Amino acid sequence: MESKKRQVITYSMIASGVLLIAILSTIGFYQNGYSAGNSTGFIDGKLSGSISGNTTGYNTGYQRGYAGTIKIFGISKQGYENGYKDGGKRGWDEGIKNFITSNCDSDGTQYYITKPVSRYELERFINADQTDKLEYADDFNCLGFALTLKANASKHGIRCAVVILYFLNEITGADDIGHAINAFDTVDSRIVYVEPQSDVFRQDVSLDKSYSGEYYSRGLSFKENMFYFLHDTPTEYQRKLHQKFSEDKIIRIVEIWSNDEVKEYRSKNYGNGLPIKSLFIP
Amino acid sequence: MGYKLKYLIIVIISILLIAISSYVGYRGGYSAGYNDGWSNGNQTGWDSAYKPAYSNGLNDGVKTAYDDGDRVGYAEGIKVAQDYIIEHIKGGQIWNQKNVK
Repeated sequence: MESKKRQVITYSMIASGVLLIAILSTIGFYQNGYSAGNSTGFIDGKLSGSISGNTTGYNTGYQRGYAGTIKIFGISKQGYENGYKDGGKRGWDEGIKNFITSNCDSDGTQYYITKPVSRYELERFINADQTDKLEYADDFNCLGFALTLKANASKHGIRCAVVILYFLNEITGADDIGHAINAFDTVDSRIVYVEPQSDVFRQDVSLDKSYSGEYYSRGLSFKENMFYFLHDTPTEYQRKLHQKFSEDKIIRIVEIWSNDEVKEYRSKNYGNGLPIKSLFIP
Repeated sequence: MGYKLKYLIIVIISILLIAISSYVGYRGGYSAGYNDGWSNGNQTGWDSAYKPAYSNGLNDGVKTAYDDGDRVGYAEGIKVAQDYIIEHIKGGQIWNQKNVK
């Protein structure tokens, strides 16, 4: 009886010891397993997070950038609208340039060889030419005058350019207001600018200088035709603003002499910041 | 049954018990650790990837929109210029005759 009792105690102690060891090993191995699993899980999770974060971030940013108005460093960026304006401007430039360069040295059937003339010859031609007697109209504006004078000069063998002056638009900060005049190449290598609506020889055509006068003011309809195709019809308020621009500075001069001779001059004060692009880059 | 055999059985059972409990503990710990690690890693990966990707996407979105707008605007600009010329400027050949004061 005593022996049996001792045997039970012995087995109980052994079982308790084994159980204790099992519990301790469970805890120990749990911690080892946790550490190993955590490392592996972190790597897997990071990879997964990177992929999904990258995809989601890109898509979200892309959609917002494409569709909406966003601000980068305080500057409003409207991708499509800016692209549309710039593209529209380039398209207009291209269309007008194609016409000018393909038509103005000819009367539609014949091309003319032109050359620089002396100041005296130029004054004689300008005095005799009747372009300034033409009647200004909404559909025959400064560009119409400049084109006509260039065509007439070409018929007389006189080298002439259509010159487009761009003024700073204080509202948009762009060179999207313009006026058209003419330039003549003289034998003493001087460029002479002429206002085709008045036959006045202009001395004030220079970058960063104002170009004022009634012929520019009334020529503002040129601007409306030229640039407002992108927008609705200008309001009266906009028209008054345009009037104000008639005294603003010239910040870009484009001289179109022939198909392959287009010269452009930009104001250093404004040239770098302008959003407008142009094909007229020599 | 001899006492040696009994002790042998006890030893084997003990070893099995300890081995099983160790395995279960390891697997449990690994699973819990993996989940926690994955969650942390996922957040870290997301945070580090999202911002630059967003910035890239934003720039690409603006650029694509600009290119699309530029393309459409360019085509329309040429067309408007052509229409303008056809409608107004080419008439200058006629105005030369009839509009002289």
